Amino acid sequence: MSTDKGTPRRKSADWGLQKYLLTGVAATSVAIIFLIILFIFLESIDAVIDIGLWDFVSGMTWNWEQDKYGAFPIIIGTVLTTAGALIIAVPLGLTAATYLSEIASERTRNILKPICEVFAGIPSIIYGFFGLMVIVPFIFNTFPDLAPAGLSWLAASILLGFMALPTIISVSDDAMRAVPRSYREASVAVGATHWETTRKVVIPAAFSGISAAVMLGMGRAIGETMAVVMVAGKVSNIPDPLWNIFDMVNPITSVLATETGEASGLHLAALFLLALVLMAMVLLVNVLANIIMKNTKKKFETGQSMMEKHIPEKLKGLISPAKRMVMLSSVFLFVMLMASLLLSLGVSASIAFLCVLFIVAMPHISKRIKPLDRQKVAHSVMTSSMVAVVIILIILVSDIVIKGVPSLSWEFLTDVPRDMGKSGGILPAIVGTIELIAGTALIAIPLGVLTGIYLSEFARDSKFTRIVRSSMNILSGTPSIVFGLFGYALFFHYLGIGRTLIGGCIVLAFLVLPVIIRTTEETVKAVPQDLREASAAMGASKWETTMRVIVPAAMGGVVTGVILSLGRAAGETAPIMFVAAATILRNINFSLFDSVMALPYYLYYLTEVPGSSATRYGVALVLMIIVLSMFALASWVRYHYSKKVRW
Amino acid sequence: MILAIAVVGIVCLAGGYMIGSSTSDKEGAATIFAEGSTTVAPLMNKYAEIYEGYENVRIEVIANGSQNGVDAANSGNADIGMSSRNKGHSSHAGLTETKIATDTVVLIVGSNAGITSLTKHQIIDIYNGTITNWNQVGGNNATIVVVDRDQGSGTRSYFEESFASTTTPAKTLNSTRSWTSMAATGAVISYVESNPNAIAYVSLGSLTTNAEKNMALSLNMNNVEGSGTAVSPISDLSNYPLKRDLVLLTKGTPTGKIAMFIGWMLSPEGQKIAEEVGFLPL
Repeated sequence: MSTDKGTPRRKSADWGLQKYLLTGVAATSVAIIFLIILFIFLESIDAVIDIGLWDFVSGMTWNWEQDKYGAFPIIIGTVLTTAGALIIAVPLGLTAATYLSEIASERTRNILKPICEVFAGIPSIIYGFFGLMVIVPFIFNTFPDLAPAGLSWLAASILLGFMALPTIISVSDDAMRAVPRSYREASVAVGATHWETTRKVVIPAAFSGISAAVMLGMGRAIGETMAVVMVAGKVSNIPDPLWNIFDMVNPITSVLATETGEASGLHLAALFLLALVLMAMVLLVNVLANIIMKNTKKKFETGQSMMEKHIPEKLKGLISPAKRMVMLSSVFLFVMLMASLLLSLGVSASIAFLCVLFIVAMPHISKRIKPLDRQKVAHSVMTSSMVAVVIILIILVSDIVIKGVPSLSWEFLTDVPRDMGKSGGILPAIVGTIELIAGTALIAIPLGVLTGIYLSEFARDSKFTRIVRSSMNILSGTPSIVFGLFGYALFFHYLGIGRTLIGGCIVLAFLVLPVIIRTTEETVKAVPQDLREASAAMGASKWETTMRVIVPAAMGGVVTGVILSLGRAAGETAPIMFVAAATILRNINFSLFDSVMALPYYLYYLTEVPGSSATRYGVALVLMIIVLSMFALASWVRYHYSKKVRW
Repeated sequence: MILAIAVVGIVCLAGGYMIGSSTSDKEGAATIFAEGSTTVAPLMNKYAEIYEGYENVRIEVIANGSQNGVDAANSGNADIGMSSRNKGHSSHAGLTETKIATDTVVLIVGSNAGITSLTKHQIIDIYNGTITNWNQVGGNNATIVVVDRDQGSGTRSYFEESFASTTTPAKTLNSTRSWTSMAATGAVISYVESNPNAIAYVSLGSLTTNAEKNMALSLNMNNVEGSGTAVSPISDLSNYPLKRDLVLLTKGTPTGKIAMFIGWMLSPEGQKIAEEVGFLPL
């Protein structure tokens, strides 16, 4: 790092104590991060020895009562649900992003951007709840013969698709907005229409950013837990036939969420190995996304010309007959296989053939349409995608609001649960959630913020800091259920303290720690170098500069990042369901060493209590209000500071 | 500044907890942990709700299946393990068993099944995947949605033991297909209420409303195909076949508050509550 370039070095005695303190805190966070990763590796070693890596990955039967741990159908479950999610989210997300970036007016954009953020902020338990209450019945009513159970790969993929949408939209929107204005102007200047510019200049130029968006959305879909466990059906078989989206599956996260609470011995080790497989999958996807993103940045920074190099290459690639054949035949195969689930083989083959014919004829048809009319068609497609995305969100939110509002009352908010949760209130769950957030904040904020400052301002760029950063990246991409598994093993098997508030706070703090560190580091680093130099020129020490100049200047970003990550923690179910959450308590717990009720887990529990649907919707609504108001607070802080601090 | 906030925060929290814990020390509320069977959990929750009004205790119920009840009682994570496996079941070895009520296992079906009774043979064939449509057992033309319970469920092991093959002709529950499995009795009931073509096995005591009770089938458990008559669990409970124990497990003989709590469950008042919840008293 070159941040201390130009700062005159004063006697280190000036800030000796603080330096040790800061270094100590940073070392603690780093140690925590290493220990978690080490812990997961060590815990899974037994499974590697007893089962064998190959038998584990290729085995076909998963049955813990018989000590059979063949994870192949489970890994396939994760791959299939993720693929299904992408098939739903990618076309919808990319067209909506194109609308947002290229077509929408600034005013519409300012409304739609926050809507996408709301989409991203809704906790996964609420998606799962919506899936169970709305999508599953919809599926078994629509396809009573194909998916009589409703629970299915399809249901899981729809939910995961919805959850990947906001990531895909916002990252690819950013990528398209980052395409320099000059590109667009040049294209329009040579007589291209708006749509032609979008299609032939902006999208190819932003191509790598868009791929990264898809990758990041994919990472999110792979690691999602609660939504999947509630609708996927929990059948550890490979769908029959493989493309049968109506079959039930049991993805990795679903297995972890179902079985962790009763695991010990080899079973627990096998679950840890499964968690490692999951982490590896997410890591692979995120690393690919990072590489792609870095290349994009470089490309724009070095000002490499799109017009000369990029487009012809892309077009050549598309036109090249071999690729075209592969694309057409995969379209044919995909349409035919999907249609064959519903129709006879002959009919589905002809439908698939028509689709291919349409694609082949497409350029010839569109040539006959005037460019401006073509633009109209394209723009209306993009616009309707955005409308579809907004409608999905409206359906989801209004379902919860409309059915949740009637159960909101003063009693509901201030009473304890009665009759197994069918009546009474949710006060212990609200208080428990607040306690969990507060405890998480107390652990994660000092550790995370100070470590972030240390990494940005004081750490030398060495091999070690690079290892620290990549471990942090691994951990921040790690699905939250893995933290649940980690906490369960730690607090039940090693410490033997069972479900406690402190356990929940620790696990949630570990979950948000890497995110807080990274946000802090990035925001602090983004403070212009001039400020550091000016401060140093006035004779301030490095410590004074950091604490009096740099940190206050970065405060807005840091606070926003912290609130956002705490908001995420508030809605998390998977990490606390084994280590902290009690189903029902009739008093408020103030002890660190007792379990607490928490809104997300209570919602999960209530889906298992027949006759509690009124309370369920009430809990879902309160949870959504709490989490979304934290997100609103974060954007208010960001807005507030962006007005105050300028450089 | 951040340091200052952090320090103030930690001091506040520590202070808060000292106050919190000292007040709760004054009250002296001991916590009793009960963990295990999702069949016993509704009854235990009811007991807890009432008993907390009598004695200064805090009772925490975790419903996660009988196997967890056994494990938690053994490891000491729970004071009371709840199990819906019969008294004397091999998995209970080494623990003190207290039977608190008798439960009845019933088969429930969704509203579109179009049947009110099944035979043992038909149930085995449905669960092993031989019968796949309700019209094969005299119901409507609709695909059967079979619902199973997660591994570790006491109800599941009781169901498997009850339908293990002693039939003529011999049949097996072993299925070439897998069914969706659910983690709790309540989840199964909610699902069968919403899915009109589903079938599942649950505890009668967990069916609380009349609509839920109406989903229960009469059962003919005769081993010989084509003989015997069906018995309704609602109108003729005493002759209905599938009955099993609800058992509390403790490590050694229960003492102190736990003994008092369990003793109260066995008292006439406690047994009356069990009956109200839907179980057969001792």
